[in-house]
Order: sequence, then structure tokens, then C-alpha cells
Amino acid sequence: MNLRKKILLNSKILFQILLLAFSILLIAEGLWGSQFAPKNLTTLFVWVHYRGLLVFLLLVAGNFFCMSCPFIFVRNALRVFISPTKLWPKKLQNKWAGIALFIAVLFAYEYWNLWSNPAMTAWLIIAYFAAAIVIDLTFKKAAFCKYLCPIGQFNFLSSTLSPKEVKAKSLSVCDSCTTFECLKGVKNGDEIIKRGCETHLFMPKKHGNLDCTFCMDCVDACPHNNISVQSVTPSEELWSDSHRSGIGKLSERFDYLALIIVFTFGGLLNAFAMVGPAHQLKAMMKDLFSIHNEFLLLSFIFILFLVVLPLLIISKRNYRLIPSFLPIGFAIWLSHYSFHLLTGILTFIPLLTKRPFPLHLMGVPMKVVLPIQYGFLFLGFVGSMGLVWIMDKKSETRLRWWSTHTLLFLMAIWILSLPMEMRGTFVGLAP
Amino acid sequence: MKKIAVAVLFVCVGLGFYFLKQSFTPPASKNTATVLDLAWTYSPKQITLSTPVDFSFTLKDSAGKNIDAAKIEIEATMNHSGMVPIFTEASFIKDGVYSTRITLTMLGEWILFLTITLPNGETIKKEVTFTTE
Repeated sequence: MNLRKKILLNSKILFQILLLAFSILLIAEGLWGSQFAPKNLTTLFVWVHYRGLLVFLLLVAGNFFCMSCPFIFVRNALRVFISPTKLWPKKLQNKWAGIALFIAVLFAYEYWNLWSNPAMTAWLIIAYFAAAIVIDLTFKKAAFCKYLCPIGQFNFLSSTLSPKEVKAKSLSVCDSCTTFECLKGVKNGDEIIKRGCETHLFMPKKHGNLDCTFCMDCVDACPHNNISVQSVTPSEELWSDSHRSGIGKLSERFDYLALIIVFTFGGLLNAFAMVGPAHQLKAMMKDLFSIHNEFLLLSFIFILFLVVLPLLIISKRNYRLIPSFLPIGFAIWLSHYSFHLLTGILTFIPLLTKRPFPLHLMGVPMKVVLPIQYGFLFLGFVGSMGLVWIMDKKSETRLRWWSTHTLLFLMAIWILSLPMEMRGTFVGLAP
Repeated sequence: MKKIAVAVLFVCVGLGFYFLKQSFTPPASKNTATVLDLAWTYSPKQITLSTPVDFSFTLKDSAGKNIDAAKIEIEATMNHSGMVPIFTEASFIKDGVYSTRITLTMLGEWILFLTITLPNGETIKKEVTFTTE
């Protein structure tokens, strides 16, 4: 085994163990620490630092957070005792359940104000562990990652914009391969010696980062040392609608297209819920329809953003250009999360040290953060416009999609330019 | 061998949780011997991000007598992870009234944590909440 491969595989285990230890600390702090969010490390690290670092890492490197996933570390450990025997049901071998869970997490975040709720945040981490373990000890391969995990779906889509990809070094080496360890793994009877790709991506036919968890199992399994992490042009995999191993053509996969829509408009919704007009909209709904149930009010906003708005602005005739939403969609998340990360980047220091810390050093000033946010949005907008240009040659289609992206860009600019408003967070807590 | 390693790992995780739970001590009780009457108000009521808000606190003891020589330290914050708090101190005006001016950094629900040091050196913690209109 060459040194580079050895370092890569060992660093995966190291990061998984570190994140597992970190998860344990976060669960403990969330359950038993201060229940006042700004003074609790769980809410701070999960909703400010983890999310922020996740999108930055996806932007500058790749899906390395999936690689370091502690849920999968625990699952793999438990598979020493319990070997799953069932295959994930054929009818569920798509993204629909993943989409439902992705929306459910977004909804739970707003409904229970998770950013201000340490105990609920800890329970969310526990729920993730429980779900990953139960699903993957019942079903073979990585059913949880591929079909269910909401974070995974987010990372898969975002990593189409990443500059790194797990790829074959030489396709001619793959052509001469007859054993396909990258997909099948290495077995000794029933015992798995090395895992193959658990999300069913066959390396020579793998195209891009979609559904790749960066688990490096294929890197480990390939007897020819022909797979590595390589540099690619961000979004290159979206330029053509070619057949992808384990997926097929994106334009023919309505579940993936729906996931892209939920990802993009969910980003807009997640940012919108933090500003004044969201509260005004709720108040208006209360007055107009006498609805006071928070669940119903929130459901209305979710339907508005995830169903009505996409139906209004997406061209149904040219739906195969839906993947061109990804750059602007990712930029909305990046812009939103970078705001929280940068403005509160060192707020954990006084919590850890229990000593006063200069306020001006706790975060980057707003006058610096705002241009960064707008810069990310603009980059995403340009990326989406460019993708439209590459993906379709017809002027009419291009104009239609450019208008859609311009509208989305303007809406995102408007939302992110509004001051944040924290409402519905009072729970009578003291630090 | 693998099974033993995994079993050890899970025992370590279990022990980790046990010791972590022990390390979290419940917050100290806020009850003190002294009964303090705190009244407070703020203006203007219509707040924008650029509006400085004047907060006024009135301290009286249990007999209704003004407390004049106290110190009120304030931490203004919101129930949101990553929130950078505002620290300030209220100045004594007259007749048990103390005042401070804060320019809020966000709109919505605010919590002011007051640490009141009485003339006899006793410290009392209070919290007040308000929502911008």
C-alpha cells in the first residue's frame, strides 16, 4: 500500500473517532449542560460551527464530512456482531424517503427552534445515530447514507460543486480489470475483508460526486491502486447529462430533480424563516384565517416555498435544466451559514474557558461578513447562469432559465440583506 | 479480536457518558435572603437596529425604600447559538433609579441578565425579557 493511500485511509478512521468523541461530548452538553443556547456548546457547535465548516469544506475540498461520519463508524463497529441480511426494498431505492427526511429536519429545526434548544439538538444527534444503526444493521450496504440521511443528501448535492472527486486514475486499468473489487469488495466466503462501494457506484462508470460518501472503501479495495482523490473543475459533472453509475441520467431521475428543488428552495426558506417578513407572514395568516396553530402556520410557509414557488418559477418544459439550480442553491446555504459561522466564530472561547473574552474578537464584523455573503451569492448566480449556457443551446430555454435564476438570486439577496429577528425562542431559561 | 475491541469501545463510550453526567453540576439556586423589588422600563417602544434604547431600572428593598448605592451589571443577549452578547452597566440617576443605553444588534426577543450588587455587598441575579415591536 503506498504512503498516500495509507495516510488517507488512516485519517478517515482518525477523523471518525474524533467526531465520535465530539458527538458524545455534544450529546452530554446538550442534555446536561446549560439549556440557554448562547451558553451551550452543543447548540453553538452544531448550528454555528459544524454547519459553517461543512459548507466551507465542501466548497474548498469535497465531501470529507461524510468520510468522517461517526454514525458510520459506530455502524461498522456493530456490524462485527450483527451482519445485515436484507436488501433495501426495491421500491425505496430512490431519494423520495431522503427528501421527506430532509424536509422533516428543516421543519423540526423551525418548529422546535432547534438553534435555541440544546436538549432537542442532543436528541437530534442521538436520533441520527439510532437511525443509522437500526437501518444499516437491518439492511446491507449503505442504505442509510444513500437513501435516507438528510445530511448525506445535502452533502451529495453540494459536493457536485467541490473541487475534489474520488476517481479512477486510469480508465484503461479499469478496462483490464475483471474482478471489480471497487464495487463488490473483497470477501472470504461470507466474511467481508474489504468493502466495495456501498452506494453502488462502479468506478469506471462513476461520474462526479453525486452519492459518493468519500468513504474510501473503493480506494482500499482496488488491488491496482487505481483510485484516488483527484482535482476536478467544480460543477463539471453537471455540464452534460451523461449516464451515472448507480443513478442513471439525472434528467430521467425525478427523485433527484425533486431533491435539487428541495435543496435549493429549502435554503431560501431556511434563511427566510430568520427574518422579519417570515414573522409578518405568519401574523398575516393568523389574522386572515384565524389559524393559531404553529404547526399549520409553518406548514403553510413550507408549502409556499417548497411547492408553490418552484411551480411558479420553474419551466416545466425544460425541467432537465433543474440541476442548474445547484450553484445558486449551494450559494444560498453557504451565504447563510457563513454569516452564522463568521459572526460567532470565537463565541465558544468564553464558554470553554469560563473567562471573559473581548467582544470584538468573538466574531467578524458585519461590514466584512456582508460582502462575503453577497460574493458567495454572486458566484453561485454566475455558476447557475453559466450552467444554463452550457446545458442548453436554445435561446428561448436559456432566457427562461436565466430569468428563473435571476429571480432566485434577487430573492436571496433581499432575504440576506434583512436583519435577523429571533422570535418564538423564549422558554424562561437562565444560564 | 475485533469483537473484543468493539466491546471495549462501547464500554468506554458508556463510561464516558457516566462520567460526563457526573461532571455537570446543577446551576446554583438563585434564591437569596434579601427580597428585592425591581421595576424596569425601556424607551422608545418602536425599536429599529439603529435606535439606541434607554433602559431604566428601579430598585427598592422589601420595605419599599429606594436602594441608591447598588451596582447593576447587564448582559443583553438573545436565545440563539452564536449570539455575541452586549455587556454594559447601568448608572445611578436618583431615587433608586438606574439607567443605561443599548443599541440592539438584532430585532426580536431579548433577555437582560442583571447582576445587582447591593450596598452590603450581596449579589442578586435577575433576568428581564422584552420583544421588539
